[in-house]
Amino acid sequence: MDIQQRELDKDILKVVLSGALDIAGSSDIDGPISEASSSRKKVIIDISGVDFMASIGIRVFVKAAKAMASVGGRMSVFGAQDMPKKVILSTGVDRIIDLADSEEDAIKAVTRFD
Amino acid sequence: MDTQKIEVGARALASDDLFAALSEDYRIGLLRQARFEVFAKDDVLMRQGETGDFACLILDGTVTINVDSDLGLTTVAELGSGQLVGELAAFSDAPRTATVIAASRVDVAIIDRQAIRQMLRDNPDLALSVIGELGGRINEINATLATLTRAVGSLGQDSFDPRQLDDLSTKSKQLGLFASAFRALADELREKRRLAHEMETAEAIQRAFLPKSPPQTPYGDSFDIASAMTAARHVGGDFYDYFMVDDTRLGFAVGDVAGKGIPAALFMSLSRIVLRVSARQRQTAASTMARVNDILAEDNAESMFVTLGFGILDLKTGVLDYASGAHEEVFVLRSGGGHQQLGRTGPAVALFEGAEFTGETIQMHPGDILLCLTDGVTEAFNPTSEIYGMERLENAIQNASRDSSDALLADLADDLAGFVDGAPPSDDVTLSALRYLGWSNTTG
Repeated sequence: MDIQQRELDKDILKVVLSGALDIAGSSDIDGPISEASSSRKKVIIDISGVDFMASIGIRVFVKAAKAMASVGGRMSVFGAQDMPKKVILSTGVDRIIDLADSEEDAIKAVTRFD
Repeated sequence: MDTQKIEVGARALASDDLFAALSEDYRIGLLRQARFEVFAKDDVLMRQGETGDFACLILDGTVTINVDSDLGLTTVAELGSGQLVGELAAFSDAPRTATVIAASRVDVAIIDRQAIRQMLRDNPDLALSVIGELGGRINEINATLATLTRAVGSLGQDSFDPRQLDDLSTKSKQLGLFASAFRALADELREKRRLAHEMETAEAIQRAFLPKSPPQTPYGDSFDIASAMTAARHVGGDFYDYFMVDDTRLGFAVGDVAGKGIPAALFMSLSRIVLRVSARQRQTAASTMARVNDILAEDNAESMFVTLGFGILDLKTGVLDYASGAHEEVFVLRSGGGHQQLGRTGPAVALFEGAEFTGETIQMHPGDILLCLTDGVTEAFNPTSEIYGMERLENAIQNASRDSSDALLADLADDLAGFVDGAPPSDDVTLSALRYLGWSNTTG
């Protein structure tokens, strides 16, 4: 699991994930994503490089999204491939995780109330 | 232009037990014949098994000494400037006993075997020193072997104490490094044992919460049940359950907790208890699911969740009331052929307080089967990393026997096993079936 972080304009943190979000992959990103969600107000996550997502991978995002929502932050996940998208939609977590098609849309989603 | 390197090298040789016996001039002479080379990080200076025809004196930088074994390449020591490597193989024609790799940019002086042998001819006393040095090393190795044998023995009995290796650490830098490598390995082994123990505990928790026999009811003749679970190496949180909701209605559940190990096993047992209690307090599958969800979602800081399929079969009427919290691998198989998949009727359970679930009503006829699986089936991989998938599953369902729940599960398990072909499961695999036999069958 590869994880990279980049600062964008408007105080947005962009996180790029690639690899498989299985048990091992999820534990790789759990720390950094928790850290980002507790210290930042606007986070967008590029998961276009994620080719497999187990249900445990979903937990990392849900935890982060809930943590951010409780302090008025916003998180958006974008670029999901078919398999991860299906997992996100079937578990119903799209009601708490903003699922955007593109980076542009994700930025719009986290800056909507700026 | 190598004058400086020659001086550095000569000083280093002066502090080597063996070469200290030579005169200063001789050491400088030896280095004058040496080749000076520079290696980049990760370059291999010497390779295990090759015949050694030179020794290397490290002038600057560090190298690692690595031994190739069944466990892969293991670093046993690290050597830095001023240290000599590979001299023993250069004295004899013996093959190299280790691979030497540059850990940084390394400056070395390479002393050829000819020069070393000539040195022995020129300094007969030195030959005695070499023999003395070799003898010393043999003694050291014997003592080391004894220490390690004791350490391995106590590691086997789980009574290993890192202090047992303190002797090695004080003997020489190389043995000290080896001792720390051994300690790291011992730590890893103990950690693996601890993990294995944790997994055994998780599996025990998981098994303890699975029903052992069909529910006790006077109407036991109106259904037959079969279930099977194969726990993955990292024990997931799969479960199945069946119990009487009231006198004539049978609850049938399948669940998959997101996560592995003890946390998943504990959450699974909690989910199962909450489901049993809620089902007996609520009337419908959907309201039961909503209740379970709310209880589990409360204070769920770790965002644990479970996908859950739950059906209540009225044994009198054959009406199945079903709800699914994001659990998708549930099917109704008709006795006359054909099957339908029961989809999700709400989100994954425990994530959102107040989440809504709808119910689905299916009329079961005698001989119809409710088949509940987990994604460990559809996401099983074979040795060439192909996934079993929904299409293969539906084919297998189409072709499997419907004569009894046992026969159905046996056929499905066979088909899956044939596909998986021995590849170890990465997730728990659960199959559970409830065959309705009709009320009249039992009451006459």
